[in-house]
Amino acid sequence: MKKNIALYAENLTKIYNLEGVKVRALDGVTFSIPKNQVTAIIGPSGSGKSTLLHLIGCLDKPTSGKIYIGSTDTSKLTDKELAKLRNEKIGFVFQFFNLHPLLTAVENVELPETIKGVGEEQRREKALKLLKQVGLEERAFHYPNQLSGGEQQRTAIARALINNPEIILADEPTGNLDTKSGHEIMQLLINLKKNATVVVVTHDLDIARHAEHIVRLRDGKIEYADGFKKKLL
Amino acid sequence: MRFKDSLKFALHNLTTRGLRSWLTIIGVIMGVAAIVAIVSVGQGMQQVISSQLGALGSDQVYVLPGGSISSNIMSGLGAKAPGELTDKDLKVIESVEGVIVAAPDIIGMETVSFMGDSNKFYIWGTNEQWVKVREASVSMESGRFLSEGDRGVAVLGYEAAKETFDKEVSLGSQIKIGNESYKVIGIMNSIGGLGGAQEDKAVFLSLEDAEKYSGVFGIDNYYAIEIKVEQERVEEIAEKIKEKLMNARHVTEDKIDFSVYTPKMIVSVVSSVLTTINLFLYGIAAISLIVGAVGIANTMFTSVTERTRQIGILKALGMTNKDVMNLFLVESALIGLVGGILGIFFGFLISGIIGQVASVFLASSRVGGVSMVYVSPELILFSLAFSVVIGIISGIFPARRAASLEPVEALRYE
Ligand SMILES: Nc1ncnc2c1ncn2[C@@H]1O[C@H](COP(=O)(O)OP(=O)(O)OP(=O)(O)O)[C@@H](O)[C@H]1O
Ligand SMILES: [Mg+2]
Repeated sequence: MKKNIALYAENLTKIYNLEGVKVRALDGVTFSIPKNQVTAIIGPSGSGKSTLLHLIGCLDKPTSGKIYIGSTDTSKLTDKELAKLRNEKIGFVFQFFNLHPLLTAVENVELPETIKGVGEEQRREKALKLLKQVGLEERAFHYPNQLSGGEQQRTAIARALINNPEIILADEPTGNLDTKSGHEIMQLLINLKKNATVVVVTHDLDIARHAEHIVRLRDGKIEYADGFKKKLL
Repeated sequence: MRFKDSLKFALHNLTTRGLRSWLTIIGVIMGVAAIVAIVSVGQGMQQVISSQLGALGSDQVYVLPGGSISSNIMSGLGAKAPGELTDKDLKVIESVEGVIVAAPDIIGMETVSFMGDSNKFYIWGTNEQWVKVREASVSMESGRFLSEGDRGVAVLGYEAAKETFDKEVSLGSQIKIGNESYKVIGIMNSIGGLGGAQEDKAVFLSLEDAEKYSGVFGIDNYYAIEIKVEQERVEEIAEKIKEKLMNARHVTEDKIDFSVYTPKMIVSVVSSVLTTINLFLYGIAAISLIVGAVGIANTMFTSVTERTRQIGILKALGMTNKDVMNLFLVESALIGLVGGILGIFFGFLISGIIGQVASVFLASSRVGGVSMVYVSPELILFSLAFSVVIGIISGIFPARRAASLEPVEALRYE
């Protein structure tokens, strides 16, 4: 595997079985994601973007095919090892914010560290620093329902960054926001990512312009995957 | 994840669900309170009874009015049993071969005051024969026991004289029973026994004096007749007493209106009655605990469903199945613990009320110096441990359900 590859997926197929009806959400997908760059996964609704993101985030398992994160073959990992991998190497940002409703903003940001078993003082300091970076230091002790959509998403970005992940996965992170906040969120993600690989699922081509690399899906198959995004957009 | 953080999470979840958590906890409280109350009353009862049985001599036979155990128990509680025992019966008993000596008992309860201080006491009416029946266990510390024809005099049990009033009662003092004065002519040595004997707490009067304080009992209706018999033939002599009394009272076996007990019989009757009562009560307590456990399981299942999305977030962020499981187990254990603590408290309260009610009926909840209600430290520890275990057990299935959720399914859940 090449050094500059963060993630490699080989012949991925995902078939959902819904009350006997089989849905082929992904059909023999092979692609790689370059390291330390921003990759956008685009395609029409129902083309399998979220399914793909869940598979490479190890939230779900493929029906067949393999996913390598770095040089790790994730199909060989136990549930516990997968949990550790998600905790230490991956940061998630979802469309519907996915903050824990019973925890304050800062507690939400801390959550990956809390799960890891980091002590309260240490993780609190880190979380507050990150909240400052996303411009929310004054909202640290507010609960999610007291925050606007954009603020919730910024909290989620801070949370995705706290473990210094190698890969940040975002599924329609701007989908519930207006155009202006959407671009702000993307800019924030790109500015703060440091040495992380970012994969963003979006159906908004305007948002996809922030990316250096594009993977385009249609009907569960790769329609296009390469670095020359300008040709596509 | 650190235990401290799991605990914080669990507490958070419990307090957020406020009322519903409390309703679940109430289920546990009822179960634990039932157990604590029942066991403490049961243990108290056992102590009272063993202390009373401890005072029985092995060469003694008792005759009580009433032909059945239930009528004997009722008469013990002050109700009138069918068929009185009188001096006539005493004479019959004395004539039975093997009987050494016999004495009548009438028992009541009255306030006794001494130098401005008052206490409730057993008032025990009997005659001069009583010390002979009780020869093996009773002796005088000072003075003498009642003699024939004594009136207006009292003999005190050891505790009654030495340990009940602010000042010790000495020989020759005047005590007041109800509104009448009595001169103390004797003080007995302590009989002791497990928890102290009721004789130690009693005031002994002549039958004629005691009659004023003894309710339905009196010289024409004894509470009991105590008999000392030849030690080697207790059962045989008891049988003879029964036959002679039946003849004298003109009753047949199936219409018998009195009972003859030997110590052996009393022990076996009492313990079999106690065992039956306890089994029944424990059954009720166990059922209420099971109901409490089902309540916990139900709440936890609901809570897993409601929190599916949160579980999804936690798993996406790397929480292991084991940690998710622990989160729910800690929560259900907490429900058990809080329910246990409050249950013990209410159990105390209930057993206290039972003690009070009993004291109204029996005029004293401390029968013979032993509390009717006994809450042991072991019982508290056991109940606490038990309620936590119940909490954990009823949390296992919901917690497993939560742990087995696929992260992606949990995230999709709306
Ligand atoms: N849990 C599931 N069970 C059954 N079918 C599913 C499930 N999840 C997704 N699908 C189906 O798989 C296909 C791909 O879904 P996916 O959510 O990956 O699409 P998407 O590209 O993310 O669409 P969108 O842009 O609308 O979010 C769809 O046809 C969808 O109906
Ligand atoms: Mg999607």
